[in-house]
Amino acid sequence: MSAERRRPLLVRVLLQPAVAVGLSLTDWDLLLRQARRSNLAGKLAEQMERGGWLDSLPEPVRPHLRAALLLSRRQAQMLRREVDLLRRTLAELPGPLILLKGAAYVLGGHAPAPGRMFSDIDLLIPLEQLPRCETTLLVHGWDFDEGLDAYDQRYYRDWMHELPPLHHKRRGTSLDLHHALLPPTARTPLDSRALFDAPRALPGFPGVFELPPEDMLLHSAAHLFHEGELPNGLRDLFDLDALLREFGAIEGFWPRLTARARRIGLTRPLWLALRYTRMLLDTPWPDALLEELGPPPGTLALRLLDACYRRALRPAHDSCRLPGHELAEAALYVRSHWLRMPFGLLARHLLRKAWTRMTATPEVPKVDTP
Amino acid sequence: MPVPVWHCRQPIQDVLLTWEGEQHAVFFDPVSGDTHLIAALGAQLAEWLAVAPMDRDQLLHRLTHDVDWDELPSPDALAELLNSHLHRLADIHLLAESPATTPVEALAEEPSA
Amino acid sequence: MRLQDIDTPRLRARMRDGGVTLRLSPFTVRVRSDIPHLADDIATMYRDFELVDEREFVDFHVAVLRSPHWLSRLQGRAEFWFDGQRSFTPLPAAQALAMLEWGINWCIAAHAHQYLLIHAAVLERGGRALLMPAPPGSGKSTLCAALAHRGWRLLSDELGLLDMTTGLVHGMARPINLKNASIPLIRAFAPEAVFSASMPNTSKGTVALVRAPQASIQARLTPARPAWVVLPAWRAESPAALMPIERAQAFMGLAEQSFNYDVHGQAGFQALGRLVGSCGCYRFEYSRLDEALTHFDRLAQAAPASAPDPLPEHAR
Repeated sequence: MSAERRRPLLVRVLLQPAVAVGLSLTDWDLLLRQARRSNLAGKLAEQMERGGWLDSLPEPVRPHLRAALLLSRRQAQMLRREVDLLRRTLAELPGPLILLKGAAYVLGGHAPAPGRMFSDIDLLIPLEQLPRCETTLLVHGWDFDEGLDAYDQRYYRDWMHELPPLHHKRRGTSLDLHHALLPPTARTPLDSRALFDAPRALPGFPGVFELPPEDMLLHSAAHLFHEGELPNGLRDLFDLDALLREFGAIEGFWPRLTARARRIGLTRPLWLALRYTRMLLDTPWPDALLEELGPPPGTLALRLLDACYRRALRPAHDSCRLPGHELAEAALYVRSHWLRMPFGLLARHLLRKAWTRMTATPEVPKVDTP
Repeated sequence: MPVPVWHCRQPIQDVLLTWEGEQHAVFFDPVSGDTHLIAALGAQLAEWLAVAPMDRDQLLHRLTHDVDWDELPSPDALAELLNSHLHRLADIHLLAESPATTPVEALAEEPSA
Repeated sequence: MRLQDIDTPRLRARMRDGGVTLRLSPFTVRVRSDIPHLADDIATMYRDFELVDEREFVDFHVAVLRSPHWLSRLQGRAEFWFDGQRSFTPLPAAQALAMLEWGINWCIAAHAHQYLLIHAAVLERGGRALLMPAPPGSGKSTLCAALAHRGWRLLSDELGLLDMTTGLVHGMARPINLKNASIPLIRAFAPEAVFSASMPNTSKGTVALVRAPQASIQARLTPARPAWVVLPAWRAESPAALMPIERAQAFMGLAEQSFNYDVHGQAGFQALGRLVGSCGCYRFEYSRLDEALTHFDRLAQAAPASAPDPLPEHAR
């Protein structure tokens, strides 16, 4: 069996948690490292606990899993508090404030929530409220990263669909404000206003909403298959898998999903999401779905995409790297930016990013301190 | 009209730590996960209210008579003191007032950075 | 087998190839490096530590490697890696040992949540543990190094591991971090101590590591029951003074210096509560080491049940 075909240990275990029980200590050593690097340690720990296996796992392994449980649960608690403070800070805006991604999964109680770890909050607001939102946040102790120069600021504001990330000076929370699903400069015509059609209230958080299931899933797909960098690629793929399973059980979901994809303009990312969740994670969905999403990519393009995504969506650990991994990531990076930016802008942007990468140094990670 | 009554938001034995003769106590707020340093007086209020809810007048009465003051503050000063403690303890989710239509509750709704 | 049982060329080769696995109880850490002088430093500082078989479970896979990045490499820089990922900014290779120590501390601080982790010096005497939680710059490491060479068993200079179930505190007897003026001070104070080379120009100034006394290393598997919490503060010209403080204050001092108090929620709150409840709590000011040590000797000689008297009103 070629390396490409053999699934990484982490994926095999997450798809069939019972497998973990028979693993040797050496296997566990590797599994934990793959899980940590892919930001999936919490998910693994939750599965072990839910299956009732945690206490019977080898002794050196248990503290690592318990630590991951503690962290993800604490993060969920802190998230609730942060969102509550945010909604009160932004109470005077007409809204709606729509939570995206991890924060929405956790506060909305969705399938990707257990064990999920995340470092920031993603919030979607109508474009015209962005300036007032930004001002209000700055007044209340939020600030942009000092290291951003004018070029980066413009990149985020004018060309992408978000403000540069905001950090709360005292509490240390990170906030990403979005006003659209994808940048206004993107090639594919997209109806981002449609995202505000039917927000769903989040109980306990007046004024804060989540997207309806179809939109939530489409956003997850768009995020994964448009974004340039994939440090959390596998985690995001598992999110998609969880959402597809959860929402697939809802009456009438599939036709609504495809209709919505056509309405907003996200048939391609959905097509890719369906393909790769099935291929890599055996996710169940009705086979007929693909036909409703327009013509597939050409054979050559598809082979290239497959090669790229198969590599990039593996655990982010050295043990899972296939040859050509860097090329795959580079190719995806170019592709995502191709999708986002008109050509002239793209060349200039990539050149600048390349230069910054060559001269920049990695950031110091944050350690949890009270 | 019902008189607003103060009570503890939860059983305090696991979340409030006091030490005999010391001027400060520590409180753990299970809702936010925060830990707070509070004045012993605040801890005393919580201990009284843990037994039974009371209104402001009853609290004022106990403050006047059941505390070992070196020098008893004036009634006005005592009322101020009570108010500021109640306000702070409500902020950190140790105490709450019901029915929830009082100025203290509204204050607690303000956004804080 | 201990680290001292491997000769230098073999150690360098092993560290370059797959790394060596050390029993830094309670953790097992594999260390890899392509920097020869780091192998030598580790051979000195961890001479008495046991080596672990390569097939055993490893808690933390770490490495200090020369920068692959062309510019950094040219500048002679190295990086700390954890789980195959670079974790910090590149630093001069001369600081490799400091990088390794800080890196391992970070791994533990970020992951070892089976303990309540406190940024504190921990020493034991007569079966009782002294905890000195303190922010950097308080003089805790200097005090710690001195005490460790004057009758106190070193558990840790900066990382106390509190078992919340037993209430006992554990330490690893790893090298002590000293900086700047503390280095010549402790050299003079404890001439028998084994120092690493001084590493200038780190973010903390000049840094050197002192090997833990052998007796401390041999006894490191034994935890200790906390008996004293002392918040130290070095103040120029200050006569040594040990002053009782409120337990609430000691509590907050410990919580503030904890890496993961926040993660443990109510369990952490209760564990720290039990800890301060059973300890004598003080703050300590000093400027001279010899004076300081006398005070700690007296503390150790006092009978247990060392609850401080409640502070009288006028002393507040």
